[in-house]
Amino acid sequence: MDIPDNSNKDDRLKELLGSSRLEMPFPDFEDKVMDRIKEEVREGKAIDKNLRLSWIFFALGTAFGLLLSVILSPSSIVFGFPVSKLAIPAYITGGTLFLLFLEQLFKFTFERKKHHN
Amino acid sequence: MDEVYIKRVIEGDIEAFRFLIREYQHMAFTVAMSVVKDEFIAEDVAQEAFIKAFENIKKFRFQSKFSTWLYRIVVNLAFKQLRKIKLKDGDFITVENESTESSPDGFDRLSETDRKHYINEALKLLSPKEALALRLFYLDENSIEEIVNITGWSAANVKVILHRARRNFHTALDRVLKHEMKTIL
Repeated sequence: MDIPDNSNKDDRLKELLGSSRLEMPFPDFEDKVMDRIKEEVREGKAIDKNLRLSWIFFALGTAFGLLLSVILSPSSIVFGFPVSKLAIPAYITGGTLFLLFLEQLFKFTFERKKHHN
Repeated sequence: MDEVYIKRVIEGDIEAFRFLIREYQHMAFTVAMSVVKDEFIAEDVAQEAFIKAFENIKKFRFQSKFSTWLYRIVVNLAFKQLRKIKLKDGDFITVENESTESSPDGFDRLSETDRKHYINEALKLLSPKEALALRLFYLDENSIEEIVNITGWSAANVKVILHRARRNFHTALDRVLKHEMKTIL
């Protein structure tokens, strides 16, 4: 459909629609938006702080766990590797949980980095 | 001027964003109203748009006007909201066959406030796309290319919508005034 572009000629419409600008009827709009932005910035900072703490405690927990498994291991376990059949499911569960937490932490850290950029 | 404030916001001065809100809140609200036709929903849309603009301000590349970038966010959110409230094309005026190309007699004799009121009522009768196109083109004086950037429509589509909107607007205005006359009499 070929529409003639006569839009520049229509001064009358320009004159009429020139007064179609609406005023924001909510006088507290500016403050409301600024409050939400400040809240969001505050929350963002708290999230980043918690994320840092999560990494620290995750690293500490991992190190502590490894240390405990070596120290408290019975003679049948050498350097944390089980010989007993019962210990194998426990290690698999522990390993799976470790990987799941690690994945979640990486995912969340990546999302935050994306958000900052 | 916008550039200075945008750079300040990027550098971490949150308060500098207040200037941008003050500067563009009315037009953002007007753009949102063109689409959603409801003051409260339009306020929500404008608010979300400013928050989104703040969150993504680092992505603003200064290749277009800040207003173009902001209105694009407003328009996207407004149409998203429109899908939720489910206004259909049939809810709006489409009377091309009986349309006129001039405003009703005596319209110029009305006071500025009355004229503004009736013009905005007429725009409410137009479909969201038509009201939006008219306001962006005639009120905010955006070029076709800028409207393409704001709305994501093709240039040909913008021209078609503007063409229809011009015709329907006069009919809508006529209808609003006739309805008003009936109410008075």
